[in-house]
Amino acid sequence: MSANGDTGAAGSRILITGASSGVGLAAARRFAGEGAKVALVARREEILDELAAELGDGALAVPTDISDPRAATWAVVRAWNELGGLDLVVNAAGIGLPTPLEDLDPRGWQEVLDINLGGTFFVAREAGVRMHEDAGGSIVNIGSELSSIGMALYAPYCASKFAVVGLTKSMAAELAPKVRVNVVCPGPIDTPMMDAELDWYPDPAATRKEAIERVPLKRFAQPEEVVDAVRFLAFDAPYATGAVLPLDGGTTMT
Amino acid sequence: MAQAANDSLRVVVTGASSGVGREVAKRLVGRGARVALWARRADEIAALAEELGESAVAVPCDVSDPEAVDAAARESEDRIGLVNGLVNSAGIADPLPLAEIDAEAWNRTIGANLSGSFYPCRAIAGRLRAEEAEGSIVNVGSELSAMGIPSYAAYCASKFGVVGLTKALADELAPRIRVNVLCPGPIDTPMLAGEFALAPDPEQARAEENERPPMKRLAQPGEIADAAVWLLADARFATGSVVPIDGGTTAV
Repeated sequence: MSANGDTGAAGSRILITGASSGVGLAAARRFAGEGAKVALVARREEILDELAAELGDGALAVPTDISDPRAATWAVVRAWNELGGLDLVVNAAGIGLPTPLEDLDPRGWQEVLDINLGGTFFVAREAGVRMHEDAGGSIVNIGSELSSIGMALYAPYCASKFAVVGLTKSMAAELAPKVRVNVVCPGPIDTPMMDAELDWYPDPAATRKEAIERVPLKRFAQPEEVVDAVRFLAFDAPYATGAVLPLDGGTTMT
Repeated sequence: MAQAANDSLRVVVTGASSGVGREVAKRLVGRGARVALWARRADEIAALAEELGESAVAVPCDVSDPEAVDAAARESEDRIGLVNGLVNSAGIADPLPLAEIDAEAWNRTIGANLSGSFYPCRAIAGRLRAEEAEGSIVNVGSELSAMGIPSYAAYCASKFGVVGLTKALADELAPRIRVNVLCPGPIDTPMLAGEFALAPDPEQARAEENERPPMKRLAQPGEIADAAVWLLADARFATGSVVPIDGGTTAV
């Protein structure tokens, strides 16, 4: 079933970046559990192999560093060939640790942009062009609350995530109507990445409490809730393209 | 409705006589919710209530009239229990060039679309707060909540206003009550057909409108209703969200 239909993930061919952890991992488990064939993209080969074994038939490990455009492109080609095409791409790979401006050297800046923006673009580009020439499909990018607001210590992350919104709208315009491209912008999510971010602060437990207090809904999202929004855009919202879907507990509304 | 199961959803749907509201009501009843159907046309909602069975009740109401809204809210609670969901899909479109928008025309559009979203929010959220209960509200904006087009000054003002209303209420009512706004593009509804009928060549107007969205078609009311139900009942981390389902019209 194509990602533009309404029968859900069963039988779909889905590529997921960032599949080793957080939202990407939750997406892999959810969609594989619903009967999709999933291509798992992340850097850590061992974790991917274990995950592919856990998810069983139809799960393909594609260890890749998507910050390299050629590797990102190749990952899509390999998934396309082995799954017999793609109906959906979920761009969940991303990094971002708090870094004061004075510590932000060109390498640190570039690394965040290469993964969050370049990786998203080159995966979406190869998949989008192929889907457009083939039977169509859907791409869901993962932005952030920091796609629309700024936060101290997150300059490259904000820059990359604002840019993912622009990328999404431009590709949506270019690939419509056969390929839909949308972006989910989550607020804080309870993931290993969040733990790593909190660990940067002198008192992680206190910072966590403050971070929760900042959210009008007074909690963090679970990764599964973000996956549910991805699933909604991919399978239940066939008229959505170029859409920015905030799922942030209210952090960006003011 | 935070963690509410479907059988504890008790929802007021305004504009339930046609278009998106009608489809929202059908889907909610299909999920096991109890639904109060609000609209001005008593015959239409009575027939729909009969079609949907005992989970649905018809409550005739003009949402631009604050006293009527308060009375309808009381009647709805009496008949389906404490209302914990609201979908504000009532709305009108009355395209007029600027010079022809007199005070009456202006007030009619603002009254139905903006005040007509506010009064039900106030009535339903007021009761939920008094009971310290959880709930969820979905307002219906438009692609014209984010852009302007000729002859739609009052409509655009009303629909931009609905976004402001949504964000203010989301902040004020968090964390117990979520408030979000769905912004659809052109939908194949009686309302849109009425707008085409005003054009010199309605068929050509429809053909041009079909070509305008990057998706190269109009939305079906059911597609928009699916999104409204998802935001209302499933998107539990969303509040203050502006959600465009517009075929790409506001992305470009």
